[in-house]
Amino acid sequence: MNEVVYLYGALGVVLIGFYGLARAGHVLQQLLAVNVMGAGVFMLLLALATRHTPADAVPQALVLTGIVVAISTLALGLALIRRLAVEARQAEKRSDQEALHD
Amino acid sequence: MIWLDLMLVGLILGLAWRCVHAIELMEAVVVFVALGMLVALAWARLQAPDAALAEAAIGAGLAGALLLATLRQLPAQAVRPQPLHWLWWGLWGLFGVTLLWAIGSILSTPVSLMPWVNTHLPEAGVSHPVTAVLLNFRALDTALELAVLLWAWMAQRALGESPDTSFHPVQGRVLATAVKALLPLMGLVAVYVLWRGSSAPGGAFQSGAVLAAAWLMLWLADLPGLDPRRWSVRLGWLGGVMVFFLVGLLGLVQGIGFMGYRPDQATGLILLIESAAALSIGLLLASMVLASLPGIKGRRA
Repeated sequence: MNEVVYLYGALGVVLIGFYGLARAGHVLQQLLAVNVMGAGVFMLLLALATRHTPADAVPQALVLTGIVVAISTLALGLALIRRLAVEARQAEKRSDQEALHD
Repeated sequence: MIWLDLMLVGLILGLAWRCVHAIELMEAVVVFVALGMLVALAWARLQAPDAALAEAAIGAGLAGALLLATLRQLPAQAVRPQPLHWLWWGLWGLFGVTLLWAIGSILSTPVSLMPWVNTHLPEAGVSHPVTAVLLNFRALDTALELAVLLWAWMAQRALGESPDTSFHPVQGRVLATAVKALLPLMGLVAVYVLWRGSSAPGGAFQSGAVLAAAWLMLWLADLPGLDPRRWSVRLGWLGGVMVFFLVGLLGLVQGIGFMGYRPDQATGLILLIESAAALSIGLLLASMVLASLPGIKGRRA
């Protein structure tokens, strides 16, 4: 019976993540919101797996795969954000120098 | 024990809300890491110890390190939330209602692949069903997942990031000595978790996460032995995917199809793949975190 709590909890987590994705004021927060949505999907799969005793191994394996894919997404997204920050700093430096020359 | 589940789900929902609603980025990141830990607890409650171990190590631990390292390199700026149009709220509600309907319809049609897994488990080469699914029945998924991890790291390198041993954020005799004492133990734990994975929760991912932590400590403590510019390390990045696909080709040659194993060889092949995969996962995750540490690129420029 407990899986129902997690099933509807998963729905809530996905909806919160979706809301966060639209509302986020910073790319980093957007990335976090995507990962929150991912956690909701994992919760849904694992809750469905517990309907079988012992727990269904196929959704569990899918979630294990998903966790590694999620961390890959996060790492690449963060690398892009860091590069964006570097580019923004350089652009700012250039515009400062131009202002000095004028 | 329903109150425990209710409390856990309530906490997870509250933290998820806090994470997407935080005004400061630091708060969002810290709440996200806490969320990762609670989610790992929830996976344990849902009888998924494999996923719980991986989530605690990778989802909360390594993700936290990556996020905090990135946060330090971003200029301090206030988060300005986007105002949302009422049309968007309509879309959000529609999405919610659709999901609710989908969950209801899944509940009334129970489908499980577990009977098939149990039928074929004796010829899988391992007795733990999750490991059997990951490395035998759905081996191609796992191989592609390793490829995704490798691809993400290659993309990160293409963005100009690479672990550089010429700069060490943390140094000191105490750290070096502690790492020397801990490293053999961590190696032992990694091998044990890998070996245990054939009959109980554990396996290549959890073992890879332990290895990643060990490698990170080694690199941070400035101990010799693992220079990311060395060919052996580069080969380690590629090793997991390469071994996996070579074993897959072996099945093709033997006439059982790509990624098929002969039942009498399955145990050995799975252990071979898992060892290579754990080494690769550990190296890739450690490299990803090390490349993200602040100061490394600044020193080089």
